[in-house]
Amino acid sequence: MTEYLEKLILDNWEKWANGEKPRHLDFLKTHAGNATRNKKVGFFIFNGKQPFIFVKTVRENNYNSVIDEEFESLKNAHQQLKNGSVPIPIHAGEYQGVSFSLEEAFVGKQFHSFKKEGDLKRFLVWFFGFQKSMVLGRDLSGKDLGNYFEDIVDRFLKLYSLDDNLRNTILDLARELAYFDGLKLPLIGQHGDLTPDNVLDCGGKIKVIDWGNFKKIDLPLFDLLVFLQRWSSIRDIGFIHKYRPIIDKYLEEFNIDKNLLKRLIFVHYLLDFMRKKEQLEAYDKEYLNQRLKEIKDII
Amino acid sequence: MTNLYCPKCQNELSKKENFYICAKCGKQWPIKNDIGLFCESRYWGEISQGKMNEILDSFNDRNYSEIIDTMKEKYDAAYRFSFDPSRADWRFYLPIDKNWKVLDAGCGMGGMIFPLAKIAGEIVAFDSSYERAKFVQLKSRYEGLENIKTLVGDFDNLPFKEGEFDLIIFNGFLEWAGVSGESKNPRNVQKDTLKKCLKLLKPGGYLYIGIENRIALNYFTTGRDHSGIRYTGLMPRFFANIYTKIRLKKPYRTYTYSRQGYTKLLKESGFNDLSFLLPATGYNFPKYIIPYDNIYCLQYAIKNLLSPNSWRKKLVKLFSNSVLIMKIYRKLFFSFGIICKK
Repeated sequence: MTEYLEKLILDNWEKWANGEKPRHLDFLKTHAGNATRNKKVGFFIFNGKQPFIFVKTVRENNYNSVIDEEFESLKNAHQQLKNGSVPIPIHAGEYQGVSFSLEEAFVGKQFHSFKKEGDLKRFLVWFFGFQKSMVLGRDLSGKDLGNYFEDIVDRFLKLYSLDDNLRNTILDLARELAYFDGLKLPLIGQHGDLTPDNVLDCGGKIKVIDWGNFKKIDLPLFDLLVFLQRWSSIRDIGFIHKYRPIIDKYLEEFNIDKNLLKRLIFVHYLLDFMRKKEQLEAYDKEYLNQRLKEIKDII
Repeated sequence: MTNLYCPKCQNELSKKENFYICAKCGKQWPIKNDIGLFCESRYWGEISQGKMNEILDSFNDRNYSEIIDTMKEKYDAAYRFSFDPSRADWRFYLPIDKNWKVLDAGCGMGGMIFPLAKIAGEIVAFDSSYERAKFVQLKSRYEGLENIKTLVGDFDNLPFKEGEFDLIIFNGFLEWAGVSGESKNPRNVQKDTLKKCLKLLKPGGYLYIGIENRIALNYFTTGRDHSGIRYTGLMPRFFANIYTKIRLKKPYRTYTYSRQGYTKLLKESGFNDLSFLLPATGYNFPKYIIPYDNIYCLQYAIKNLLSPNSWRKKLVKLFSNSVLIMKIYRKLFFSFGIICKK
């Protein structure tokens, strides 16, 4: 495949790249995140010293939709956020029936390797700006919330096949938590996988990769909780305490009733765990109920 | 499917009910459960033969997903070796298509075979262990892959005609080739094996080798060589041989080489157009595959991708700005993926 991609890129050099056309390109294979590691493969393409294009592909054509949908999401994100923090979508195609996509490669350090308070502040400046530009101007009523939660949970369940009992338990819990009369929840587009691994510091500028789940979830706070939980070394719900001022600031900024926090955190937990199929397989109703109790106790 | 040929006289074999026969020399090879046995089965593997038989027996009375779950739970190493598709990610560096015929020499539990079977035309899974070949056969049936043929054999008994394959895989195989043919120098046995492999390839066909680096950094500290004891790979062969004879009561025959050593061995065996890859963290589970020749790829991977989980790696990361240090480090990388062309 690399031979084909090399030719494709060199043939389109003037359109897709800058500088003198090289004689050959080098491919550094990297791995996909845990949830899709058996499906996806990525390559940094080097022209000399630096990668300039990132390729995503899948291991077999059964998974083509993963690449096709992710590329559409990236195009959407790039169109909506014009601040240079989203990679430029370059090209999507097929090689021997298997989908691949090319996008601009960002060169920078992953945020997970930063631990200073100042770094978090820099990220938050970018993040609040991102969220302000993503306010969709639509609210969900208490009545709609249940269906919306259920819809999201169901979508994730389709991606990660689960045993029927566990699936029903999760849906029951989502329905139960969603019921909330008389409240409105503003919808705000989310990155969908905003882990510190996907946030890069590129010479002092924040850039973000992996936009494949962009706006698949419009529940406010989802991205912030994902980021803070991974950033923090606290594995359990305790990270909420540590970062409560930031979370409260978010709720105020976007005019979200604090009574909804519990539900948002729960759905965050649910979706985040569902993305890790292998971990979720080890969970049962008892575990989920225990986690639910933990969330209720804290908030 | 690939026709089989007499390992002795290269005449096409006829398949009878429970054996293959050569019409020319009359020699016969048994067939057991639809697996041709071209050598005496010798078990080896990540799990004991008893446990392997337990897994095989479970195919009789349990469904496939239960078997997978049990393997995952009880035999994690075997499960990962067989089911992790990233093990064959080096294949993206080759122009494999549906017309390709692939031979996996020493296929083990099929970690390479299953990802390849979905993109290549036909796969021959070849192993000296009947149990492992049987596992591959059962797994391919359950996964609905009809283009996999399983055989038990070794490089002294090759039932294939010359120029048959587009790709031959030697993953964790070449270092063990010297164990057989005890009267000969292991390097010469390896060279003979490579020459046989060259003959089996079509013109322009590829050989992929996944193998350890003789002078990998970890062998200077705690890493154990294939002999099972430390430092034997680093010793001159003569001393390593005496040392293993004293310590293990057997000669040292599992030769590995440095990059230069592999280049020399492969060129002497008739291969050209070699390209080296650096699989991290090792060739068995290559999370990252770094082209050897572009030093900046290695530098980028160390700075941005690889997590330094040992003091050695932390030290390497600290000095990763130095191109000279990187050039030295790649020579000391744990293992290589080598792609060579006929």
